[in-house]
Amino acid sequence: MMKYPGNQITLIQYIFIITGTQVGIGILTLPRLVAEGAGTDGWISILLGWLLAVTASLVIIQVMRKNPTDTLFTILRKYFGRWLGGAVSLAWILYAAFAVLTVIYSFINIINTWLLPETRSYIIMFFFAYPIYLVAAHGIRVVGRYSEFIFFFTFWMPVLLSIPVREGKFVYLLPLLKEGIQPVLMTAKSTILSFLGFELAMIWYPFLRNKKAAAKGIIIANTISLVVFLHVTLVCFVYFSPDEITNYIWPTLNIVKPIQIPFLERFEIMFLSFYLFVISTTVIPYLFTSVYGTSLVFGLKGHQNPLRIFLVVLIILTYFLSVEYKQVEALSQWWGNIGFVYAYIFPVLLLIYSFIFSRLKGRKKL
Amino acid sequence: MKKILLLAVLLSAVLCTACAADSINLEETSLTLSLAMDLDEKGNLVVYQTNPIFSPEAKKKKDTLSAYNVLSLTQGNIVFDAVSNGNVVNGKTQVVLIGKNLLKQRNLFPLLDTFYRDPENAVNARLVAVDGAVKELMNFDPEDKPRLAVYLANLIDSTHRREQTVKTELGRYFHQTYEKGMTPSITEIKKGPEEILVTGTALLDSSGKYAASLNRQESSLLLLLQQNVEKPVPFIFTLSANQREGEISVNINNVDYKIVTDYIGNKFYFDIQMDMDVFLMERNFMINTEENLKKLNQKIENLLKHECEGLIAKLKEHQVDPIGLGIYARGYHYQEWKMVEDNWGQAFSEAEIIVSPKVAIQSFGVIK
Repeated sequence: MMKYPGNQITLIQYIFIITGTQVGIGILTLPRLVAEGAGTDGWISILLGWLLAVTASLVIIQVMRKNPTDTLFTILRKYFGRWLGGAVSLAWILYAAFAVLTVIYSFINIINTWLLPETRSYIIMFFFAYPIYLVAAHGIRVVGRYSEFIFFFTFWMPVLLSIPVREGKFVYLLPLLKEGIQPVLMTAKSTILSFLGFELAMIWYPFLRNKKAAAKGIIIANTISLVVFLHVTLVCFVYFSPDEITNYIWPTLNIVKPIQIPFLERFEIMFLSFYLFVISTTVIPYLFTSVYGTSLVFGLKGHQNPLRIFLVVLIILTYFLSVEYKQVEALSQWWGNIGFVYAYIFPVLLLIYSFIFSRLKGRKKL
Repeated sequence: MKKILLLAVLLSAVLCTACAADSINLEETSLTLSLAMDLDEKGNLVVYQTNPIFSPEAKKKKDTLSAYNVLSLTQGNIVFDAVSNGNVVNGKTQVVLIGKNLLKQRNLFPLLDTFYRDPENAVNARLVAVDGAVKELMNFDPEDKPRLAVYLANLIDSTHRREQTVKTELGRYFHQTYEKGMTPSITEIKKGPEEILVTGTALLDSSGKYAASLNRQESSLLLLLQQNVEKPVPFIFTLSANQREGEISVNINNVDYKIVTDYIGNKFYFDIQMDMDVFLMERNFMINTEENLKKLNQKIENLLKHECEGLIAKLKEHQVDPIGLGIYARGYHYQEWKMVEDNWGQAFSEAEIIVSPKVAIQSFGVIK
């Protein structure tokens, strides 16, 4: 029965992998995105986004419960056969690769804008690639341990973000629902990108040691992410004026900027350097999914070789293709739209299909 | 072998980035510590900059550069580059001085755009209005003070700690400009014959131009009304003009605010209720403070109310709201606010504003 001996993850690791994947690039722009849509009521949209994410997560767990030892890729083969299953798996591999590409390009863009305006992007990519390789080359357990470590290692960052609150005005949040409920509902769409990451539970589930806690774990993970998002957004809303906040592209970084230590004028440099770790916990799970899927679909022995090729391709790609802010924004938007299909619609379809499939199979046995 | 190879590759990569374009050598920079802008007689923009000199061969400790007849700050920087010892770096700017002439004639905000657009620039620089000649101030090099930028920064910070002037950093100025329910207020200084002194606060209107000045006591009142006090605020009140009662100095601390808002008959109504502790610091007339505590309490309360409402009358006259009451108007009367949000200054001047301080003398010191 044990398909993956010695490569299991604990519940805590499972939670932190999912949270780590969710809390990534979105957090820097989220306060602006929701403010653009719903003003200072944007934080309610985040709550709605969370509700959607939890619902989709529970659907995923329902699907996985039927096949407790299979990852998404083996389930697809089981349900759809070798060719159709392979094609859908390939679509998932491309989706994960696209996520990696989007996060990395967003990140390089931020580093180029805020820290190193004249350093070429492939140099940044090169230095980012090696540590990522070290983590992702090992199995799921190392990814889990890494995410767990990074969660506690960067725990101070949201705490630090609370400092500006004492200069903030809570009256900015009033009145509630100033323009009615409709903009709040519409804006929930832009929180989808931020909550993406839970869909990878379809990969982690078979590795989880205590499978009974999977549903509880994924709710906790989503909730931790919700708390982080809400915290950052509310701090920004209280500190910045509602008329002001939409002027900042990355409000979360602008809120760190006024923090000053005598020997360091620009504190956001420190913040961004540590933020690298936060980003890495988003990149690594997607990267792992992508290369692990490749090795399964093509029947390779390990996932190290696809990983190496992928990272080298990324470095070469960043050498030839540099991306501006507008394009990065477009990439994130695409990811949000595609992610909606993959993370929210696909699990529902899969669940329905699994009911049909088990009924068909049941009949055959009769 | 594999590890050594890897190490070699990584090491060479590190060397590669060490010589990349983003490294800056301090010797090759002209570090802007203070920056000033003013208009000349013909109305052209002039930019001044002081930078510290690290070279042991140079005799002076600071260098003042000026760029005449430029169109923007960035163009000023290009001129500075052409005349200075190194490349201009703006990340450490401590003070940004603006001549009153410029403030009266042009909207300040677009001129500062580069500070917000380029993340390498510091948003913690203090924004200061200068009453008088900016050039004279930038060339001021007193022997008994630290270099100008440090001196000015200390001067503004220490005055602000005494709650005698607002302290508006560039970041906060951005906030005050974009916030529709508030108008900007910045520190104002003046160059005297021997020294520089903080005269109070300069108020800008919603178009970013100079509107009025507040002296130091009025600035304290403004900070009090802005709910922006951290340290005890010193006030001196004249109890009455006759000989028996003279001046009394108090420190105001621990203020609790409650702002009651309403909208009656096309007018906003605000009641700023302040509950505060007062510490008696000095009195220059004979009175038994212990016995007359209640009387003093009452008098201070009335005087404070009177002075606050005097300040508000002055603000209304110039149609500026540095207190930020518009924020409360938006928070509690959103529909009515929507109608006046683009013209808050006028709505503010028509609003009815009441200040109700409640004073409790907590201590009168160790003598009666």
